Amino acid sequence: MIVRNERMNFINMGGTAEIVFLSHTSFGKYGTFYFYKKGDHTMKNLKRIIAITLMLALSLCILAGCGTSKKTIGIIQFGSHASLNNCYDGILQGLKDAGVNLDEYNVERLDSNFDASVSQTQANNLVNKQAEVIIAIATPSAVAAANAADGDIPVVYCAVTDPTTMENYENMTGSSDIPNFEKQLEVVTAFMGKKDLKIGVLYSSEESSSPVQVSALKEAAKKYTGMEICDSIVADINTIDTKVNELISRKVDCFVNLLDNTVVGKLETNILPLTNDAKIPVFGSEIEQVKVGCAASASIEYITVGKAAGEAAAKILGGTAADEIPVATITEPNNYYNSKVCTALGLTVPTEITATDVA
Amino acid sequence: MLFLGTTIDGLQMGLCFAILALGVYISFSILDFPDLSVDGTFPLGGVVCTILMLKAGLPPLLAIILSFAAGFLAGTVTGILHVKFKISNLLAGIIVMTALLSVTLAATQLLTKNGMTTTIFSFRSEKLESLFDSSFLSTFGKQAEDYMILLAELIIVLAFKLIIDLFLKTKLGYMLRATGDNEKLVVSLGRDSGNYKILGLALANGFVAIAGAVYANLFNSYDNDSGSGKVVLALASVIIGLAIFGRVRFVKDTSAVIIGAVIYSLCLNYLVLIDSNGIYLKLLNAVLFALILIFNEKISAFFSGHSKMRKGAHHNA
Repeated sequence: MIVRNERMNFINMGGTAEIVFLSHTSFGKYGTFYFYKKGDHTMKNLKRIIAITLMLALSLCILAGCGTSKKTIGIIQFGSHASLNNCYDGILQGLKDAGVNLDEYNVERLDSNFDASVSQTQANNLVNKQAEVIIAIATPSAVAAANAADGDIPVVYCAVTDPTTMENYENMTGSSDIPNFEKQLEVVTAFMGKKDLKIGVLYSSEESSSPVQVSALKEAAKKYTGMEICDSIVADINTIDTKVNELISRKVDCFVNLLDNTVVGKLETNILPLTNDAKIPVFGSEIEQVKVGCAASASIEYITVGKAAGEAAAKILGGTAADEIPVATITEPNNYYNSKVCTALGLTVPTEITATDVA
Repeated sequence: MLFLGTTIDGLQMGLCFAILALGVYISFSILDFPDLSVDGTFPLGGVVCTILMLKAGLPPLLAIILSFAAGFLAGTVTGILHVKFKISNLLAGIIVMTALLSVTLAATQLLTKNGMTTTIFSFRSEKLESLFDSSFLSTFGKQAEDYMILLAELIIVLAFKLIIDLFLKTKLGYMLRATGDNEKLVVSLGRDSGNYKILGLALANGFVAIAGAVYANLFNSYDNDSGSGKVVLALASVIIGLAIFGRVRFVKDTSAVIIGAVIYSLCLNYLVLIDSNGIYLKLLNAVLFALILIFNEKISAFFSGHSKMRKGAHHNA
């Protein structure tokens, strides 16, 4: 409570003191007061608070209670993005192909808009609805779903690059989108015509899956004598030009892309103009990148990754325990190349690799 | 079942954010300092707690309490920037928040096996047991586990509330409140108000860091982006709590702020029932916050049963 006038200033005493008011005639023109007496209205307050919360609770009950009696299949997508959308399409296809009649279920697609806490709330929501199975697309949504379900509801994760993050959870399975770097390097060496390459790799520090991909790539590169992987971390996406030029100045023979959304997003605008000027080919990780201007790719297709997750979910709906279904990884990628880009950069299309031209 | 489940989730998150609101209450309400560094200090607490649990093998409760020190340091930096270098309060907060983005990212290097940074770290992947995961909490069975978690959180929140209340009654606490309300009084008593500001910010950020640590334990994972939007959430909780209960006699400010956090968190959770797709969630969040601010006066008048008071008006009993 504050009692204040122009002559004196008292500080706030923190709420429990009660100041008795004095008639204003004693003080007259010396100042203005504002004050109030506490106390009489507590019961009234309490009743108002209770009334409001009851009304709110009732209205929300009505809103929420108008659900369907069908069983729910919950799909949490971390964000809207070409690859993740392809995953979703793949999941639906996988479910249909495995014989699940989607009309019998209430298929809920929840978009987390790249916000992990929204993922968490949506996952809790699905658990409270007692969904039959939760399918989570991308690692943050998968972690959220795993924590929310806590073994009670089976979770299928899709496009989680590092499945070891999901290891110790019960009742989980899924599909990983880690590229097959051995096949990728086969394509790279075939197109470049030699094996002792210096390969430049750019990845963003904000992508949690990039480090594990770099390790896998380096592991695959060990098979080729003389091959060197020069990796460069892009901390701030605005510095990507500098990073590309830095790798070019280190005399890399070619670039190889990881599944890094941040870097791949800048492919057309920043990376390719610089590498094309220096006549250095870029090998993409996915077919879309080849269409945009990469030389070639042992492409991972998100529809296939999604289908694998959908099939796993279908098995769970059919009664199999999630833990019995092995985690799916894409072992057979599809090779694509861009003939226009290859001609421009002076690359000969190899005969030992079967690849489709997307130019 | 859906409604009950959503309510329980809302309460769990609300009690976690109550600690956040207690911290921001100290900086915003008492010191009158809008501290934007909360967005950075929140994940800082989470990462420090996780590192202590993973690397030093400390029990979760101890790790949570020690993460106070990390927040304390961050708050001190904000305070020094503001007091000694005369940077304005908003800018000081923004500078520290931006710096902490890098600090938390770098700290995640200690969490991964290969020394690389990561944006999300799941406790289970390293078989870490969070505070709310322990076997003690499931002694009454799986069904009651949610309620046991609520009870555990309530005990933690009440403990911190008690500490803050006791602190505010001491001489140091009195000086802190004086610094926020009337700096001239502090100066006239021969004390340096700048030091109290730094102390207040340090304490506030310390509690925010604890909130971040509890959040990481609650969700069994550390997320680098968990700080985003926490300033809005904290300020909204403080404002709504003080608006509803500020004039009620038997409710202390600290309790009001806790209840405000719980109410706001419940509202956010109920919003997901309406917009389950999540596209408009942030917009609804902002609208809710704006409505609270616009009707602040009306809400407090409603709950205290008085008509709107004007400053400087005479009032006859």
